[in-house]
Amino acid sequence: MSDLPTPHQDPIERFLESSGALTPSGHARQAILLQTQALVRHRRLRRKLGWVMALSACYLAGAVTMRLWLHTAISGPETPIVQRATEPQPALSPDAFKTGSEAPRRDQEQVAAVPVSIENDPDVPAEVVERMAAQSRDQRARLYRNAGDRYLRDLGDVEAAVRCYRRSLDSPEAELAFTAEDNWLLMALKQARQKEKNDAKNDA
Amino acid sequence: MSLSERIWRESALKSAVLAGDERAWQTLYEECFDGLAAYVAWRCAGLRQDSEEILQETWLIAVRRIGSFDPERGSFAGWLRGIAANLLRNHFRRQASRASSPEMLSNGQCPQVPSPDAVLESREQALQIARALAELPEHYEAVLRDKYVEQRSVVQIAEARQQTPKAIESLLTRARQALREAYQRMEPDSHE
Repeated sequence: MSDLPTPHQDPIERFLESSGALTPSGHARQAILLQTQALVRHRRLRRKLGWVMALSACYLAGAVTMRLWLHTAISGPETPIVQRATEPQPALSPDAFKTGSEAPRRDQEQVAAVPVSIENDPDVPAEVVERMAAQSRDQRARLYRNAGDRYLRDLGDVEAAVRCYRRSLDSPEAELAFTAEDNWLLMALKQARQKEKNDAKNDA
Repeated sequence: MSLSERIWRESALKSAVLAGDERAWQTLYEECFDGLAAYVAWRCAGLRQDSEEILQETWLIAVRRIGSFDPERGSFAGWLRGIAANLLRNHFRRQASRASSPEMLSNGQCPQVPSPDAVLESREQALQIARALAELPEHYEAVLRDKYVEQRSVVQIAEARQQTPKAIESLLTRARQALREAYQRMEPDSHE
C-alpha cells in the first residue's frame, strides 16, 4: 500500500490542477487603477508646486539682492570699490631685452585703491541712477542731476533728462545759480525756475 | 521584444510616471495586471478577499516606489511579483500566528467570519495551501508558477531556463513534494 494519497483526495493536486482557473474579480481592476492614478496625479501636482516654489524663491532672492545692491549703491562713498589701475608699459622698453633676474616682473603692476561711487561709474545706466535718486533722501538733487546728465549725454533722451533735472530742482537743496558744470538744458531750466520764482515774488 | 527594447521602453514609461503621466502608468498597469492578479490569486490559493487585498497593496506600493524600479535588473512584471511575494509571505505569516492564538484554536474558526462548516473547511484548506506556498523556497515556487499559473509546458520551461526537460520534471516533482510536506506541516494537528 502506498502512503501517497490519490489525486482526487490530495488537496495539493486539486489546487495545482485548478491553478490556471484562478482569476481576480473584475471590479478590483478598475478600482485599483483609479486609486493608483490618483497617486500619479498627486505626484504631478507636487512636482508643479515644487517648480512654482523654486521659481518664487529665485524671484525673491533676486529682489533681495537688487534691494541690497541699491542700498549699497546709495551709500556708495562709505564702501569704496578697489579699482585696479595699471600703467601702460612701453612697447619696447630697454627692460624688455633683459633676461633672468634683471628683467622686471610683468605682473608687478601698480594696484591702487581708488574710491569709485556708483554715480561716478560710467557703466551704470541712467535708469539705475534715477531709481537710486528716487529712493535717496539726502542726495536726491545730486543723483537726479547725475541721471539727467547721463540721459542727455549717453542716450540723447532730452525728455528723460528734463524730467530728472526738474525733479533735481524740486529738491530743497537744489541750487538755482549757474555753475561751470551746467549744460545748456539745465541752465535753461534753472533760468525758467528763477523766472518763476521772481514772478511769484512780484505777484506777492 | 528584445531585452534592450524592453529596458528602453520600461525606462521611458518609468520616467513618464515619475513626471506624473497617468497614461504611462495605465499602460504599465494594463500590461501587468492580469499576470500579477493570477499570480496573487494562485498564491492565495483562491482566497478572494486575501488576494484582492494583496493585489491592491502591491499596486499601491508599486506606484509609490516606482523610482526604485530598475528596468536593467528585471522586468516591471517581475518587480511587481517580488513586491507581491514579500507581502504574501508577511500576510500569511501573520495569519499563521493569529491562527495559533488561543482564541482561534478554542472554537476552530475566525471570529469575524462565521461560515457554514463546508465553506469553513475549504477556506481552512485554502489558507493552509497559501501558507505552504509562502514557506516554499523561491526556486520551487518559481517552477510551480511557470507550470501551473503561466501554463507553460515542461519543454518551454526547460528552454527558458536553458535546462533539459528531464531536469525540469525532476525539479517539478521535488517542488510538488516540498509543497505537500509544507502543507502537512500546516495542518491543525501538527500544531498540537
